[in-house]
Amino acid sequence: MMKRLLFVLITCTALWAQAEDLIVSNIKKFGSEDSFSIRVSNGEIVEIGALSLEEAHVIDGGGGYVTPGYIDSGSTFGIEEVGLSTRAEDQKYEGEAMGAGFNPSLAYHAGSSIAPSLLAEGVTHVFLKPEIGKDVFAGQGTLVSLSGQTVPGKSTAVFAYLGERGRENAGNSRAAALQRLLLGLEEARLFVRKRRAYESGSLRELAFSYQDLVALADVITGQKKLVIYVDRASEIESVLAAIEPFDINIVLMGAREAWKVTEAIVSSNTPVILNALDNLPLSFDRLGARLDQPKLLQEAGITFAFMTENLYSDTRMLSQAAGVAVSYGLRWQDALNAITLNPALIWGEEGLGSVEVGKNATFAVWDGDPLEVTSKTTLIVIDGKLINRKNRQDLLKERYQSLGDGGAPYVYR
Amino acid sequence: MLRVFLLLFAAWSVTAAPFDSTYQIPISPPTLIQGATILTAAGKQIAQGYVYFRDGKIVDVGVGDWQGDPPANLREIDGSGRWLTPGIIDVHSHLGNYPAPSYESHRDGNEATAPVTAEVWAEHSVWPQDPQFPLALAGGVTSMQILPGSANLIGGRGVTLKNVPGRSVMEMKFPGAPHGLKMACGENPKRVYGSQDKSPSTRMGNVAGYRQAWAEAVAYQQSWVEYEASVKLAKNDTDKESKSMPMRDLKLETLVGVLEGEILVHNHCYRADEMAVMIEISKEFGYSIAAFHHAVEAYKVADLLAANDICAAVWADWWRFKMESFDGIKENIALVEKAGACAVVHSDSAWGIQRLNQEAAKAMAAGNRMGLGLNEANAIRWITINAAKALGIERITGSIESGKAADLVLWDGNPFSVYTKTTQVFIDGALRYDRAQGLKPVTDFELGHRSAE
Repeated sequence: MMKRLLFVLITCTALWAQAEDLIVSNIKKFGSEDSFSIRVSNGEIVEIGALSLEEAHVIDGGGGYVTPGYIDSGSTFGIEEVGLSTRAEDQKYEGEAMGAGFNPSLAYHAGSSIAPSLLAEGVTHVFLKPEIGKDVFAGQGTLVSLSGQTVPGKSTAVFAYLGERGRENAGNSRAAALQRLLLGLEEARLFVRKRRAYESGSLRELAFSYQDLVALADVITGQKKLVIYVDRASEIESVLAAIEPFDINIVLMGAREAWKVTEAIVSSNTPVILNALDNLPLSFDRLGARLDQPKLLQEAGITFAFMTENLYSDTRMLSQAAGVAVSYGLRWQDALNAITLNPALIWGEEGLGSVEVGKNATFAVWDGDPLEVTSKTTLIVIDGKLINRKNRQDLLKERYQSLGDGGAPYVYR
Repeated sequence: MLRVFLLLFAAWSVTAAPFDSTYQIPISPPTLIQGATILTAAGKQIAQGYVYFRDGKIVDVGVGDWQGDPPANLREIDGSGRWLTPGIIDVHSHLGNYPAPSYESHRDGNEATAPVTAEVWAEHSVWPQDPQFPLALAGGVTSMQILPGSANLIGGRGVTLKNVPGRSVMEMKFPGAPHGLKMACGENPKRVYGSQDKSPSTRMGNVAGYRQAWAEAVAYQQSWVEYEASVKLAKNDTDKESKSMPMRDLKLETLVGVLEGEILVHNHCYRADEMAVMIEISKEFGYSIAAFHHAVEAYKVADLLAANDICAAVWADWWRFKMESFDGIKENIALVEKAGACAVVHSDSAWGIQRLNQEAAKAMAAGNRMGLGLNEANAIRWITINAAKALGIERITGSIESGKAADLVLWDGNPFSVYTKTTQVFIDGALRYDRAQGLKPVTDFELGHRSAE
């Protein structure tokens, strides 16, 4: 009996050590040659420095460079498996029943085969971005982890599209798109104030559906942010001015001409999500698009984060976007912040975004400069767990790397 | 009557063909760039070297200091700390055909009205004032092929341009470059026509469509051969005049140009199995394929491409934006190179064309991670000389060798880094872009917009 108890105790201790404590040793911060270790316990970083490697599962970081996991602040990963294939897409609601209420994160595919390929590029989190359907409001946004195990958290934002895309859903006028946006906020404010009257049917009929009002009510009460996709400088100014009385938290997205109206953005303390690789004057709303915009916004004191936005500029290009921003004058640390710390703060996940004691243990180790196009991760930890980065692309490579060697037929490899 | 015929013939043969290039090489001073790290795309990396060029041509390239006799008006450029490469060449672009801003009235790249439109020429859609041309120049692109889109099985002729300003496309055309013929496999043609309940609506419909077009081209070619033979055998002028000349068919004329080796086939084709089928068709009708574009699965048939001397032009990491791109891998280019085939990195994008050096860098790094031992001297070829080969201009440009065009790019560091930018771009020896001096072309479109100030 005693023997058996002892055995159980020993087993438990071993499990505890393995499950609870992970040390990644022999890693550096980029720009410094001092090597250190990170101890992870219960999903948190508990110690950083020259650590005793006993009583922990130790993984040698191989002298690589550690960064927080990268966060893509606007992508359809997990709700769009492959493009031009409607049955594999859930990022857009094209029915009439709702706009702001649409929550694509409910369709999030945690088991997507795409995730390991993105993880290999250091991306651990993605802010799911609904694509515009039939309303000016496109739906809700949610930050998701690529660990494969998490169901998405609560949505933290409602998206609205102004500019060229918004106008198409508002009777073909930018003005009407902004009016629709403001009407939504007004009705949501009324809904919040007179919820009981609404429920009992004694409130006047509202233009927005119940689902939309519930989502927008969270914007009015400050529980969700309103993300506004808009590019043209004058439109940025007019929407900021029009929304000011609602006293809500907004985030600008796209914002290709933000650099021209930095004062309005700074004074409203509005963060901005940028596609940092996009400098094309593809419309009259975007004639001011430029590659040095991140530097200009940084100088103006604006908080910004980067997104990859669509399948063509894939989530795998996130660190390239940051690197290009550096080549156009942004400081290296500020570029890294735009894909780590800044998005964590903007999307309300304060535990993410930096490698510090007390923070969530979500980080990557790189074989070179973490923003360089020739670098790749050597390991990824999410919520304290080592993640398997092996992916379909690796398997395809292995299958075909020695063509015509007379070996087994390809499908038996 | 014979005299009239001969005169007409003579006049026709000395007059320039319609739409010929009118590009003129500008006069620039003899130039010496010295002290740079040079990637010639024709051999090893030169750690500290020089390039001397004059009258638009590279005269001398070598290690150390140039020992030549400096002319009085020599322009000297200090290359120390910089890298010098051949001008970047993009084999797949739609600049000018899908210009910015991208409004409906600007979309001129797909004549999507019939599955075979070999009669259209991409150059007739090129808007020289597309503000995306200068952005590509800032990325070091000195030449590019503009292709029709991929809505059609056979989309029309492509054109190779110098990245120079022009009031017409003729002023931009690369002198002596052959036309391309755009063909497209897979999803796009069958989606475009299948959605209208027309053929092709399947991949087998695609293949029938190509083969029927080539069969018609062979018959058309034969009708001309027979006509010319009958004229030759004519007993006298009256007899000669009695032979009826076939009517020109612009569609079949283009296809015959391919059969006769004057026009190069650029075949949009993602999947390995479809590339293999396209090679069969080329053999059936006796033409060659210069390059498979968007060949996301080239790594699966790299041996086949090598054996048939076909280039694979691909992105470094685009993938999953449609089913036929689902198997894209970052090692693709490196595996094509390993198999001994001609590897090319292309853009098909007004974003990507600004950073082809970075795309090549990604491919190089992916290859090295699997132990292929690639270096900058390999990778530069994917965006210069190999691209030139695919376009049939490899004897004129694409490498830094004496006698070649002085299409050159100076970079502020190793071009295979995300942090590196061009400093100067030369086309035929003329300085067309200088970042520090603010020298850059400004298109008509860009003038006077308050919002871009």
